[in-house]
Parts: sequence; C-alpha cells; structure tokens
Amino acid sequence: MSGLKSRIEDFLTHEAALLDDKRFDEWLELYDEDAHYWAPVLPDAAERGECMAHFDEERSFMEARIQRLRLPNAYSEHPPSRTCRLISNIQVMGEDEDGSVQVRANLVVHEFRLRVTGEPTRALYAGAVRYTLRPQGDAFRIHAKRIDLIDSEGAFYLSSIPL
Amino acid sequence: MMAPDQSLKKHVADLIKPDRVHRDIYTDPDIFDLEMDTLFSRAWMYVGHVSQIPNKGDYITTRLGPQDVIIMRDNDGEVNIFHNRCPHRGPHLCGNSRGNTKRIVCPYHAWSFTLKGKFFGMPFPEEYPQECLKSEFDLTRVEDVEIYRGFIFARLKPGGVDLMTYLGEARSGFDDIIDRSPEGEIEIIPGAIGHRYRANWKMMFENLNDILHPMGAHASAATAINSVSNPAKLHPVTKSLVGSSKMMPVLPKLQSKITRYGHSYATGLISVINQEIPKGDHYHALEKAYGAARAEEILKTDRHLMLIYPSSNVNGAQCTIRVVRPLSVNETEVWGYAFRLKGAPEEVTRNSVFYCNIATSGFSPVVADDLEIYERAQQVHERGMTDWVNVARGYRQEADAGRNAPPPATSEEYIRNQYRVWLEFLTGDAPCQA
Repeated sequence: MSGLKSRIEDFLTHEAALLDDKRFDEWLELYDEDAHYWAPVLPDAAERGECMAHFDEERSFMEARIQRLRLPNAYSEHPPSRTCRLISNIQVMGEDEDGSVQVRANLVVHEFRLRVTGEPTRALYAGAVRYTLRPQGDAFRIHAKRIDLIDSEGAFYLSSIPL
Repeated sequence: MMAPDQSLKKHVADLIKPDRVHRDIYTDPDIFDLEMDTLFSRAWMYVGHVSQIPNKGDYITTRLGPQDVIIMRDNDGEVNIFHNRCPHRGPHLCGNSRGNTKRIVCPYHAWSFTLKGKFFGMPFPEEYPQECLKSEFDLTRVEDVEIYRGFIFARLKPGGVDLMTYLGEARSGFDDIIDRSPEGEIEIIPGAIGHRYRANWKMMFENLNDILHPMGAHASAATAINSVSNPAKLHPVTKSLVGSSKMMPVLPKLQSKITRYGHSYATGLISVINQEIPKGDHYHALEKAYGAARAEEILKTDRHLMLIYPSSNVNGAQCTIRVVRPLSVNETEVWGYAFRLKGAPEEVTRNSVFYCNIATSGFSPVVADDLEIYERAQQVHERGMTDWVNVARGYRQEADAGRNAPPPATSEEYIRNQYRVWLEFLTGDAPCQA
C-alpha cells in the first residue's frame, strides 16, 4: 500500500476528474451517507446550519443537484457548462481516533459555458478545501467537504456544476 | 450626472402602455441614470437593520440609490446616514463593509469627523477661511431616515410622503418577521449571501410575485428534489421552495395584494389548501407569550414574498429579506439576509438560514434557472429582437371588472402597478405626494 498522502492525492484527483467528466453518479458515491458539503460565506464560520452559505448540503440534496443537471428542462445548463479544475497543495492536517483524516488543499475551477442566448461566460472559482476523509480499503469516502472561496463574501453569477 | 432633460422624460412616458412595456426601459443607460436620479433617490429604501450596528460607533456601508453611504450609530445611540465621501477631495471615507470607530477619518489627508458627521479636525486649519470650517466641511447627511420596528429606511432626496404612508399595508411584511419572535425581537445573522445577474434590476421585481413561473423555470429543480432516493432526509424547507404542478388548480383562488406605491404580495395559500400549522416548539413558545389564538394567527399569516418597491423583498414566514442593488442598466446584485427570532427554537433560525441561502445563492439549483431567464430576456431586449414586452395577463378581466376588484394572484396586475408608480417617479415633478 502506498503512503497516506499519495493515496489522498490519488483520491482527490479522481474526484476532480469525475466532476470535470460529468460522471456525477460516481462522484456522489464518493460521499458518506451522512456527508456534509458546504461553502460558507464567512471565513470564520464554525457551525453548520447557523451560517450563511453558497451551498450547505447533505447527501440527499447533493443527489437532487446532480439529478437536475440531467433533466432536459434544466435551462441554466443549455448548453452544459464545462469545467477544468486543479486540486493541489495537499496537506494532511491530522488523523482522528476513528481513523478519519483531515486534509487541506487548494482548489481552482475554471468554468465555461457557450451560450447561444448571449456571450459565452467564463468564471473562475478559487479557495481552500477542507476534507474529512474516512479510509475505505485503499481509497476513502468523503465525510465532509468545506470550500472557503476567496471571494465568499462577494456575489456570484449562476453556476450549476458542483465545485 | 447632468439633470435629465425634459425630452427624455417625455420619451419615457411613451414606453409604458397599460398592457405592455417597451424594451428600452431594460436597456437604455440614460433611463437607468434617470431611475437613479428619481425613483431610487426619492423612494423610501430599506437599507439595513439596527442589529447590524448594535453599539456606539458601529457602522455599515451600503448604497442608497446612486450614493454610497455610511450608516452609523453615534454616541447618543442615534442612527445617522452620511454620504461615504470626504467633503475635501472626495474619496470614500470607509472602505470596509462594517466596523466600529470613535471618529470617521479620511484616509487621504486625515480630515476627521464625529459620529454625527460634524467636522472635527484637519492639518493646517488656519489655511482655510473660518466660515468653511463651521459647516461646509461636515459630512453630507441623509436627512430622511426612519426606523420601523428596527428596520432602517432612508430616502436620499427629502420630500414626499412619510415612511408609513409609503409602505402602506406592506409594512405588515416587516411585522410578519418580528411577530414570529416570542419576545418580539429579532437580530440579523452575520454574513449576507449574494448573487449577481447580467440583466436589469426590474426583472427580479417582475418575477418574484409571478406565481406561475415555478411551473416553467423551477420544473427541473422540483423534479430533481421530488425524485431523490430518500426524501425524508431532505431539509424540511426544501420542498416548499419549488412548488408543484398539483398546485395549478388552486392558483387562481389566491389573491394578489397591491399597494399605492408599487409594493405587492400573493396570499391565500394556507387557507385555500386548508393547511394545518405545525404545533411544534415554535407554536408553543408563541402560545406561551401571546396565547393560543394569537399564536395560531401569527403562524397562519401568509404573505408570500412581499415586494418592497424598489429596494427589497421580504419573506415573513422564513424571516428573510433580500435587497436589490442595481449596478448598471444590465447588471444587478441581490443580497439575502436571515434573522434570528429571539425566544424561538434554534430550528427556526436554521430554517431561515437554509431558506435564505437556497433562495439567494447563485449556486442554488432553484435560483440558477431564474437568473438564466433574466439574462435571456435581457439579451433579447438589448439586441432589439422585439420592441414590446407583454405584461397583459389578467388585464382585460380587470379592465372589465374595474380597478377596485382585487386581482387574482395569477394576474400580472402587480407588474402593471409597478410601472404606474415607476412612471410617476420618473416623469412626475412631485412624485410620491399622497
């Protein structure tokens, strides 16, 4: 078995590829049943459910989010957005008693949408991601993914693809 | 900005017909400037809540029509609003969205001002004539500031009706938040969630009381939410967001309430579908404070999305306010704020935050399709693909029945009403006189 950091890097690279390739069902499978996926507005946000957030979701809502992307009447995805993302600067911050691993990484996502209804749109999202990963065999399941966008206190145009 | 000439005002009057509006109102930068100079400067605008500045010296910065302003609590506890610019050479005084200070100090030459906006000091004052120092160098105050139950309103240019007259029945949207607190007090949740769209600010005001749009725009979100494998795990607020096509037959039974100055809301859903209110912890807290009958009345209050023209909209049941900030003729920002109800269970706060996030975030699958529609409409208007925009739903029936009959919530009368008020502000010499 290769080292922990190397396995984490493989796992997070795999997650990024699944999202860029729109393999959303497989992406959701990376998440625990009780997973939490969120992007708070305030950098010092501590508690879920108490803070303003760009998204603050449990697995069932993540499922709704990706199901919508497949529907013919998800008009904000006509035509579908494309993304290219880098996940890098990976650091293992700690390991919990139950075997969970705390990971910090930097994420940059470039999003593009060709629109016949107007000018093509491009967006750039960047921020720190904090994962809680639970080991499962050689890989992991994501228990928590928190994204602190550097512009989290700004206003965002519509965006449909998960970060 | 130069004073708008009379020919522009005359032109504007030709753009609003009883059942349609011209595309220029969404696309002409001169009309946007005229809106800023008239509507957004002469209407009462919601600008914030007192809990954002609880202590002496606390301030927030925001925009009031075309002016950037500082909302400051002074040492006497009074709320003052100043133009956020130095009377000397002009730069903004405050560059943060919020803060606390003993004095306002200009970052350029260190001119300083009291929390009441009075000139306090500068280097080399002897080089100015004495009479300037007395008054000319005070900050420019916004004179018309009124606070209704903690909600701060301001009007950039003095004159016109008072706040209560301007709000009319729409004040009940604000009551509806506070009344849900068993202690009659609320405080704002830190942080605001913002989205932005590439279209005119009026698109949002036309959309939010349109109870037919969820059938089209939000159909994908509804289908997705209704088909998750374990719906019991969804947040309870989720389903209420997207509506359902099963609601179609009851929609004409709902009413649209429209006020003199452009505000409106839809109502009747709870009574039409005979919905029972949940008798949980929130009900019991209200019952203890106000008695069973009043508790039931409060929780059955049903004013969906009160539009406060032209600044904001209030969702009383979810304790949220969204503020609309027009940036240019085709760029708009919207900021959502959630409130904690003092004395209510924490679950109520969590619901309010959840609702505010998902009803405001640009990443929300519910919001995304609204913004897509606004931007498509803006493109069509900007490229002149059509000249006239239809707002006629319900027009003929109401014309036949007379203006006094309350329209059904399916009518676009609330939009036509917005444009009557818009025209009055943009072209009238003395708009907003009772």
